[in-house]
Amino acid sequence: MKHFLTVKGISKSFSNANVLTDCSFTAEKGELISLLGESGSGKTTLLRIIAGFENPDAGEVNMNGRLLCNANYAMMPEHRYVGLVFQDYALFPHLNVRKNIELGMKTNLKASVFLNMVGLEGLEKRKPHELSGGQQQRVAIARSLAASPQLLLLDEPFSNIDESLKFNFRRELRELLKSQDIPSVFVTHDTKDALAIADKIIILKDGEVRQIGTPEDIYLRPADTYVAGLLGTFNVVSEKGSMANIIRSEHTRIIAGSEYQVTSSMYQGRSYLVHLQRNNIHYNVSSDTPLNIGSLVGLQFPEDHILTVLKR
Amino acid sequence: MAGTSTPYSGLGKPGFLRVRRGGWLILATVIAALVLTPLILLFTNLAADGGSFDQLSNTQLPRYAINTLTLVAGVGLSTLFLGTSLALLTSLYRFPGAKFFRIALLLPLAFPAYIAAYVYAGIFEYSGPLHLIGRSFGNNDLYANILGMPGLIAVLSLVLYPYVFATTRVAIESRYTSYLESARSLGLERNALIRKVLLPLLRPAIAGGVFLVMMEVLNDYGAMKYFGIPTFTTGIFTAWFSMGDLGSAVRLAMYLFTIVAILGLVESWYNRRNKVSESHRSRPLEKRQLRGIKAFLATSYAGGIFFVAFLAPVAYLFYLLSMADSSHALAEWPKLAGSSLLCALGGAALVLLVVIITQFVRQLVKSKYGFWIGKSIAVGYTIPGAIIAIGVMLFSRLVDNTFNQGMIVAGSFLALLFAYAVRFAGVAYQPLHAESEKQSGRLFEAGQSVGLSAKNLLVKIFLPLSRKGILLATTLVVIDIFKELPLTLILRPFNFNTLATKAFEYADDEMITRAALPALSVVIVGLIPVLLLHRILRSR
Repeated sequence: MKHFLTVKGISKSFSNANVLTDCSFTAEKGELISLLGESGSGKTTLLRIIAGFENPDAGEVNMNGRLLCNANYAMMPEHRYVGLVFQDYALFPHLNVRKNIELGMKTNLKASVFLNMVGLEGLEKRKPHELSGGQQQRVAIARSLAASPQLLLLDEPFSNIDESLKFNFRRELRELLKSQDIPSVFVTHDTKDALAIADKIIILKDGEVRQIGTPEDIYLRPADTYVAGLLGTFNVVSEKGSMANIIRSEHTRIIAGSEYQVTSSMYQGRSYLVHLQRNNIHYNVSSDTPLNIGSLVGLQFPEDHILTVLKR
Repeated sequence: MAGTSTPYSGLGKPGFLRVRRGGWLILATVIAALVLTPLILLFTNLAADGGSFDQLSNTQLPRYAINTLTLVAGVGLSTLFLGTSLALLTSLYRFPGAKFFRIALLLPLAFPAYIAAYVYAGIFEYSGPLHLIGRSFGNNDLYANILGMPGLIAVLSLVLYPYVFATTRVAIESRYTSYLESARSLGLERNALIRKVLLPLLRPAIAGGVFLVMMEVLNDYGAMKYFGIPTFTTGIFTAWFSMGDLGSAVRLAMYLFTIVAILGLVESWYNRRNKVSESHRSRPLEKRQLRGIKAFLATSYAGGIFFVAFLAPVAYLFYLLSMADSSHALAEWPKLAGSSLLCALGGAALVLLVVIITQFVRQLVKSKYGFWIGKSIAVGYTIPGAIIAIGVMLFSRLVDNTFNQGMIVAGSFLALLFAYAVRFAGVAYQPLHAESEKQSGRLFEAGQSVGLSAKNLLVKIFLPLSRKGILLATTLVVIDIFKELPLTLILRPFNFNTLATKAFEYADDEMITRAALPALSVVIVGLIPVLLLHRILRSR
């Protein structure tokens, strides 16, 4: 099957430090993909290679039947039809909102169409510094969409948005991107962003793809302990060779007993995260009620929630 | 859309250097090469016929060397004292007139040394105003012949100390506040604080100012000539104009260049050794109020320097102007001003072309190579005009000889404009480089991601965003060319005069009243960048 976007075997190093190693994934039309990883995992570099601002040392990127780049060839960014929404939005400070949008416009539509699309009608004449962070981000998205991209890339789109506004933003962004029927790839270090809006999550760790799957897949069937830990806390029930049986903290039950000692209890809003210890092994458990530090309890690990994953 | 597209960027086999934006990079490289060629030609011509240099080196060379070095050292030391003391006084203390002196003490910068030279010589001569005033009080001895080494050192120091004053003031007022505060929290008294913390911290800034002063001394020709002090620079002129001996001129230029290079190396070594990281807090240092005799002394010192370095020479220029034959002066003024303006605007256009393209390419390619290309074109500003003039002369002859066309480029207006570009690209480099540094590199990427070509990035993003820098650069370059003397004297087309060359020629021919109007015009134009500088200092 021919994919709309194929990223195949991309490797990249900067002054002898490997940033990306043999990264591959695909995307289809209308699909919303999240590149999730900690800082330094190579996710932004991968995004910049697709956009054309870095060249890969090995591997290739194809889109809609066109070669975008490989080790010997790199199409100029302006010829790729790949839109990039920057983390700091990079709006042109000398142009107002309308002119920002019109600068790369390749359709006969008016700038106001794109402003309506992002819900900013009436702000055409404002300069970027007169807009809030959220408004700037929407202008940046409108500007990218006006250039008729075949693929939209977003670098940490939520990093400059207040925590309290994020909930609505995630929903709106997902609706907007879905309505365009172009694939979007967004980079994030925040698990909640990825789980909330992506169709597919790609987990990067030290420049390698660790797992690709739907949010449910990744959460419920993590490939290894790193992925499991990235999406939430868990406890190791038992280990055998390179494999481990783990259970998520919220599936671990506190029962009456005296084997585990409570070392701390942190309020998390809806519940408490309780740290326990037994024979120098640490456990995290969600609890509806706080527990006294030093008290002794028992733990139960229900069989049907135990996952077998790679240890790494 | 299907299939492999045409490769847009330069390609290579794996492992080969991949050159992005090859065309732009080549353009910038060619421009930088053109700007640097005159300087390179000086080196390559050292092997050629030395003219009468052997004879020159036996008779004149030691004198040139001793005089040049004495001047540089003398002016360096006296501006070090003047500039630093005035900066400390106006930045750390309040006294009557202190605020006024902060700008007033910058004004002498507007005097080109060659104008200051003839003005001071005139003030002190037997028929000068000092003598006239003295005589009216019954004192017949109030005159002096200041033509000579001590007089020249004094005159150059009076017009050049503002370099040290400005750099030191910036350093005191914006850089080290938090160090000073932490020193105070350790219990240091104010005087100990200045001696033990502030002055050591200021060393690189003071050295930077003194270095600029020394460069200006080496660039001077007019004042040295007027005061009759033979140096490498006047030697270059003598060799070229009196003897038509290019070989000797090239060798003398190389001696001068060696001094410049050594000074540059010493400065960068000194600054590296004394490097202090700037503190980012920029609350101005709290000033201490001076009272009584101390306040009187402070005002007298600052006021005295301002009077001697600016008020008196300006007043004297107006006095000369009132004595001048106004019909003659006014008749030739428009033509001279027109020529000056033509040089200034033509030169500035060429300078901007050079700097804009190299800075744009630097930002476009984001490579070390692009950075060095951008920086290399600035080197001319550290090199005295006389040296550049000889280099450009060699270059124009090379071009003429290559095309077998006789004297087409050499002695043409084009060669003069080109020389301005070589000399002053460094002046435009600073503001444009600073402006483009402020621009986020992301803006270019954002432009490319919506499909803008490199040409559109230049026109729609780089130029509009750099307009402040371009404006500042244009102003500075136009005014620098207005004041320029040695380059213009050597390279101007036959019978071509600017306000600067005419002021110098009249003064040199002892027609000092005729020199007044062109000289005053140059000084007034020269005030503009000083006021700009004051604004920049204030906004920091």
